[in-house]
Amino acid sequence: MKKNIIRSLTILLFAIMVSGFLCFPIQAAEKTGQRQQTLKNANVYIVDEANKLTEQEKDSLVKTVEKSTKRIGTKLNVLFLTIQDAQGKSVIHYSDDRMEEILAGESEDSIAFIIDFDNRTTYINTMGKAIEMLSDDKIEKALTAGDSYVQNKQYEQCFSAMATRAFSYMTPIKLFLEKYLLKVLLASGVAMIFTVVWVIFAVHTHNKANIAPSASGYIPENGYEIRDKQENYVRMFTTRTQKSTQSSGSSGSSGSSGGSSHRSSSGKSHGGGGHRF
Amino acid sequence: MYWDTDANCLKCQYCGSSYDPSEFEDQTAQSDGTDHESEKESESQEESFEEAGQEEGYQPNEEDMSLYHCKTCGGEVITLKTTMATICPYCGEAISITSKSVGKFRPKKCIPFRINKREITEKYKEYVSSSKYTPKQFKEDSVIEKIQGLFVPYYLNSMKMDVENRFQGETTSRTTTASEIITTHRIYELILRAEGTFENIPTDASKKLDNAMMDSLEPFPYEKCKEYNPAYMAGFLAEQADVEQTECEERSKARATESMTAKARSAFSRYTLTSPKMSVETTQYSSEYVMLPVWLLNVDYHGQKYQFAINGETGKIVGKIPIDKKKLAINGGIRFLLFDILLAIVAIIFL
Repeated sequence: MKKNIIRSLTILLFAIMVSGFLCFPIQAAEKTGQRQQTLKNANVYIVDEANKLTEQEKDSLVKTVEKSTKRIGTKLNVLFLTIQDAQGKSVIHYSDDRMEEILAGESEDSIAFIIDFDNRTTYINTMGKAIEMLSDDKIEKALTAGDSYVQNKQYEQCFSAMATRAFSYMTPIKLFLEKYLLKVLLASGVAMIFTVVWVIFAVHTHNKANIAPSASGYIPENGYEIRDKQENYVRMFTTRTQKSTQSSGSSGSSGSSGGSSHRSSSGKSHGGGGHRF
Repeated sequence: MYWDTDANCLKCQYCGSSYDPSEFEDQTAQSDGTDHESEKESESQEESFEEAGQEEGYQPNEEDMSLYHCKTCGGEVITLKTTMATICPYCGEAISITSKSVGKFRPKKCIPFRINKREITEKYKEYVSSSKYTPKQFKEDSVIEKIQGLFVPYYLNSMKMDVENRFQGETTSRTTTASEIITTHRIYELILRAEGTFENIPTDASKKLDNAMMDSLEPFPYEKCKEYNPAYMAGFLAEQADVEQTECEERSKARATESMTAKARSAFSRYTLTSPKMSVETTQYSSEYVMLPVWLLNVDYHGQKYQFAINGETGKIVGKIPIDKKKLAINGGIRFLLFDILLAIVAIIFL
């Protein structure tokens, strides 16, 4: 009896241990389904929750990031995320939380390209410097670049197109131009006006005016005499002009630089935008 | 012989001896101005130089040209019919064609050149260098040395005129209420009768010279006028008048009338003047034919001729200088870049 109990317990213990060993690889597999690669200009994370990407496609995405981030000048964390089940959350909230979870411990300068199959949305999420580097309209253009591919279920191409387009807007020259272009154009316009005025002045003063003196100079002293001067009043009339009422009003204009942002559930700032498919 | 502007006398270019103009009898002084007299004058001057052609005088080869033989070197000198003095292009000898200064073409007075060529050259260089966009051709010595002294025929016109100017004049005054602006217009008929005396308004009598340019050379200091003597022409060019005196009279009257109208306008300065009307009566008029000194320079630039005239007594220079567009464009481009960089920095920092 005692021997049977001990045997049963041993078998049970062995089974538990075997199960544990079997589970661990699953969890490990879940964790190793997240590919992470450190490049010179970016840290790439690929989390394919929806299981839509092959290994070759993941390799291709890494190469795309390597190529596209050469001239950015800031090292970013780049996350490619496919979502099968958003657990009832919107793509914004789910992607905020997953992004912070996956990139925990890394620098805050991050960008995530997301295909949410639950909410049927492609989404770009930004954190840190990436919020300033990518304005809302640039996010919009990057999302548009991937629209046709996601419609055709070409998910790797969709990620690649969005990433390539997004990174092309993030080079230092483009960022400088975006930030300062209007000011530089304004300065050029004013400089052009100054130059035109200067040219007109230079041309005008180039030649001294050759004017014949008035014949009054040939009138000797007491050579001019007024014999008769009359100022005869003829008539009078009046004109009336209504005063124009000036409407006062001010139009407010707001400008934005960089992308708009919101706060996640943990209080961190995120930027982003999405397209439904 | 040539006229030395520094010494104010005639000088022999060979021995340096100086002579007062009064030592030379003005052979044209006795002429009464008839054609017959001018022919005799021409014949009597054959001792000093020869004239080609018929016994009556010069024989034009072209309609407006005359041909002379220089007594000094025998060179054939072609001049305009109106040329009174010139320089032999072969030997540089001054040639005075006294037959051209007889009768009605004999000037009463002239102002000798006071400023010599060296000083004029300096003044001209200063004039063209006043702007940095003057093309370099205008500053080249090979161009500047072509400056020539010329006695220009002028008529000095004196007149007395009665002018009546009429205008419609308007004054306005404004009153403002809460809702409107009330403007009161008062209309007047304005009349001004004035008498003006003008003395010695100069009008150039040469078709070859631009009237506006010659007018701009004024004023000439008439107190420096001397009785005419061909000796003053030595070494310079001189032209006979080829504009009718009546035409010059009309021009001078137009200037005088304009001046009288300007005075009338200033007498009614508090009005806004419209509908001008004028009547002019010239009660006295006289004119005097004189020769006034002018230095001339013609410059060719990009197919266009630019003429500069310099008052030979006062040194006043008139003439239009073209702009070197290349220099202007380079300068403008550099300024634009500098402005742009400076303003861009200011905009980036402060906006």
